[in-house]
Amino acid sequence: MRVCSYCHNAVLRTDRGVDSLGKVADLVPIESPLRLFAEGHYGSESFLLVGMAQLRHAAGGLTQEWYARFSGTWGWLAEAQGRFYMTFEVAGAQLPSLESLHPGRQVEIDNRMYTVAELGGATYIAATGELPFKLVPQSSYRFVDLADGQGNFATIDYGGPGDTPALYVGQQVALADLHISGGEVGPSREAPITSTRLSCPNCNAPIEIRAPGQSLRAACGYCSHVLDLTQGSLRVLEKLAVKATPQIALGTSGTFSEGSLTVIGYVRRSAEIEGTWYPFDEYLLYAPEVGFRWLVDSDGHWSYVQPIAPGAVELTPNGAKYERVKFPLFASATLRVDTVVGEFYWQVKAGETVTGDDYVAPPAMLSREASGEEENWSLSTYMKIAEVKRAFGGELDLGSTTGVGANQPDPMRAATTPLTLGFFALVVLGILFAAMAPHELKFSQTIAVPVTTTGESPNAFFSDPFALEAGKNIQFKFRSPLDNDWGYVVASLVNVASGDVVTVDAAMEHYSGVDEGESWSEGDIDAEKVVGPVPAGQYVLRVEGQRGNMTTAPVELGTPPAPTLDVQTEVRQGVFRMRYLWLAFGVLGVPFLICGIYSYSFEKRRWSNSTTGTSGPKTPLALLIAILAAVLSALVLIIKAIAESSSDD
Amino acid sequence: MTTEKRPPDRPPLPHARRPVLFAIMLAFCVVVIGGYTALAITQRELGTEDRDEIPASVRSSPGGYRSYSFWHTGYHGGK
Repeated sequence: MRVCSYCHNAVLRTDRGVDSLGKVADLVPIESPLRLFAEGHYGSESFLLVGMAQLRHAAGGLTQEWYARFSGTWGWLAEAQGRFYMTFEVAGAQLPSLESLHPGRQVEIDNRMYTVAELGGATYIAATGELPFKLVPQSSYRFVDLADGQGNFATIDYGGPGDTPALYVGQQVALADLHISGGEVGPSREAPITSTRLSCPNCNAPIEIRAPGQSLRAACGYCSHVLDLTQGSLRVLEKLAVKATPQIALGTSGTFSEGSLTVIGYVRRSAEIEGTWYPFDEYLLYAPEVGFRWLVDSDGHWSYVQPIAPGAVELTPNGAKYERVKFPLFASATLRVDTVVGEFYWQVKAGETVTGDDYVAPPAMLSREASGEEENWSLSTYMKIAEVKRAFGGELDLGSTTGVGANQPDPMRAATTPLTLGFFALVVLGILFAAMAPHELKFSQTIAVPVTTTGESPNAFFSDPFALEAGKNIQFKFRSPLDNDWGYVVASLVNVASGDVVTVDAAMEHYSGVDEGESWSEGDIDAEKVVGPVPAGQYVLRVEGQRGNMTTAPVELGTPPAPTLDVQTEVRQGVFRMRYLWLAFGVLGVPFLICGIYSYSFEKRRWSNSTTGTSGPKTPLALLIAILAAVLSALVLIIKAIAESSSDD
Repeated sequence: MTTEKRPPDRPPLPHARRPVLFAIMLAFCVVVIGGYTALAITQRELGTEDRDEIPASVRSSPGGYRSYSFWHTGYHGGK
């Protein structure tokens, strides 16, 4: 079938010749980057757009389906709401009945698992160029749109009653990837959004339509009347009870991650949670080359919202999964439109409701909105107020935030990664240093140290010279078999050659008894001191001591022996110092604890707004702290065991 | 017939930007771990140690340190 683009007469080429089908309605003007006879590329194949059919969605929206002729085959390039889909007919596929499908249902078609996105109907209203079938104006058909979440898209055309369904399979494509060029003369593709200026039929105020052909509804910012845009001229539908007061003026352009977008509509909606309606604001953004996007403001917490294919999200028992990231369910609520201003690509009206679910993994949030025949998923990205202002040039007054946003990132989480890495690095270093410490025994002897009382001239023990190495610490270990007594030793290492002296002292004590039938004991008969490295050389150990009970030495006939303090003494070099590992753990632990407490409080405030209960998922940092504490305890025991086994060698 | 690019209806997940706190904590961890490593390698001890030197006149005689009486006296403890 061919429609003359000048006289709009349609002619049908058949086996018997050419039949005239009469006039086809004029095309509804839609701003589109596609044109008749434009060339493009799909992957490595090139195509030519040779015809186009315009359809009106049962919900009111307009779509254009371009007949793309490839070398040896053909496909349909559909454009709707700023999105583009290239599909090809697949013959002979087993297709489910229309009645068995509903939004969200998964179904296997042509060896691929799809999720139903929409059940709808459409009516052919106009056409131009060449089409591969006989288009009957005002004929309607039912269809089902499906997506697999991997970029593959399918639509089943169920036709009218009694028709055989047809399957079209393809992909959603980015306009830039199609490399469209040429075509019939039209406005420049680089031109910004074209707009149409109309007058409100109620108050005669100017109404600018910035997405002509895409918008179905407009709301007058002066008299708050909702207007129908689908009938060729504006028609008043209803008066809004509440006048909309957006913080960002319609027509303001901002630069976001996907490019420059213009605010064309504003909706104030409310979410019903436990009987109370909580308002939030949504700004509809539009650019022909990007499509429709949203900017959502909830209590001063802003999010940039992109649509995603239903099949891209996997529902799990506790939430959803997208791109292998788990999103716990945050809130389920009924969402209601309170008031609107600007233009919209659906037939918006005050009071309309949908059910919505939010799943969060800050700074991202997945949202599902479902109505009767449609299920839409979107991905929100948290934006700070300063980022929103920057996107719009910095001139906006957007107020301040209240509470913690559903997908607001926890600022303290930034500390988690370095601190966690730090902890693990310390554990590894601790194991390494403990394993590598030589713990070399340099001196070991049980010494009977002549003891003195305070003020007396000391009577000291001197060892034979022994060698010490440079660069290794020195550990002194003392043990005295005390019983209800105390002992005190002063040990000095004297460098025989230089006379350098390093001195340590240590106290030991042990007391025990029975009080009121209960035995008790206290004190420690062991003492340990460590000093830093000394120069290499021969050293003598000098030990002097004191003890509490000077009469414990046995008194026999004659002169009693001089009192002594028996001390088992060891000198080792290159010992592992557990205390410094503990100190490092402690120093890292302080900010870790502070961050953990802050993070816990932050998450608690976030989840207090959840409909899934205030407990919500545990904070990742709090969980991490608990896990780390358990792991560290185990590792410290291991390190201690390593250190002790080395010292026994 | 397919294309290899990322589907437009499957935008990538956003990632939280690393704020200044990340850099501060990273530097802090480097300092703490570096300090610990330095202590462990040099085997030095924190704090002051009781170090002294026997005078050269005493050192000059063999075993002179045995008779030198600068040793520790005082203290000492008990219950």
